Amino acid sequence: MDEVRYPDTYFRGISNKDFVVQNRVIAAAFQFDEKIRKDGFKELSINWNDSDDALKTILNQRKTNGKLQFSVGAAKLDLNLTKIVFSPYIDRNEFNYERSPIDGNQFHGNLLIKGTLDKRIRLSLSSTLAFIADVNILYQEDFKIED
Amino acid sequence: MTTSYIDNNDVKNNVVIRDSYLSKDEDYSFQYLRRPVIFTKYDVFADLDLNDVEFSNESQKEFFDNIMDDLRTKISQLLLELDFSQSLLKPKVINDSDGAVVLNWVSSNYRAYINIETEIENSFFGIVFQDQEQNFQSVSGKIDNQNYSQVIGKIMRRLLNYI
Repeated sequence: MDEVRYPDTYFRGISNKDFVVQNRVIAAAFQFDEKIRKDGFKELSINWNDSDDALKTILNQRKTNGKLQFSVGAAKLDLNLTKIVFSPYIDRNEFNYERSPIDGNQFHGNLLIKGTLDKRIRLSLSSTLAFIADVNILYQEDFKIED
Repeated sequence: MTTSYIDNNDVKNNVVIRDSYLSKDEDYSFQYLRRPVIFTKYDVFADLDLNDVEFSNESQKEFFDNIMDDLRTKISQLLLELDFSQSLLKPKVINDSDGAVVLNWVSSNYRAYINIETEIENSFFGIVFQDQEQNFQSVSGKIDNQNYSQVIGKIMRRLLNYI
């Protein structure tokens, strides 16, 4: 079986200005989907940073009404740090990640957490992802950063 | 086709995320200080924006108000205790997709939050931080009408230690 390769970093789009506080991204930007897949995982959409086009793709992604999907920008996270910090969850098969290309976005993928984890644990994981990202935010050109 | 892969071989095991309730043997007592006034300069709630925050029911709003009152008291006491050498960052309050009201504190050293759920008994708090060895740690637990004052005291003390 071919080994799936991953880049060192990935992006998470930020759709709401309230998800950035004092120029730092907060857990709300990393909420996993409510829907549980057949394999028992919940998804959090990301873009793998395979090339410069990965960031361009996420920043240019638009909603059906034509407005930018991620009006604030995108947080950039380190995959190796993510794996280290979440290693207890990885060991228990409660955290994983994948490539999942979609139409118009070959870089698309997901972070995955077990659907059985309760909200308290989910938020702890989301807060940890926010902590990993911290100030590593690539803003939209016209986004005004508030103090 | 969606593929899933993770390489466990290069995952180090020297980092632990712990989920635990607050230890009960720490000193939460602030009884010797009884001046719950926050001077404007130090009032991190002075310009707190709640215009976009929605409360699902009266008990959620009441619990939020109780927590805010207790936070003000604790902060004023801690500032006196620390001789105003420290200051807390301003919190951010938002709703999540479940209708919970979430108090967030954000810094380069930690993420802290209090989730006030629509059903108060399901509320919880959490802190994610890096310890002295730069390992990521997390603490989380339940917060309710019985323990909120103790929990808030612990959270504030811990956050001030990280400033």
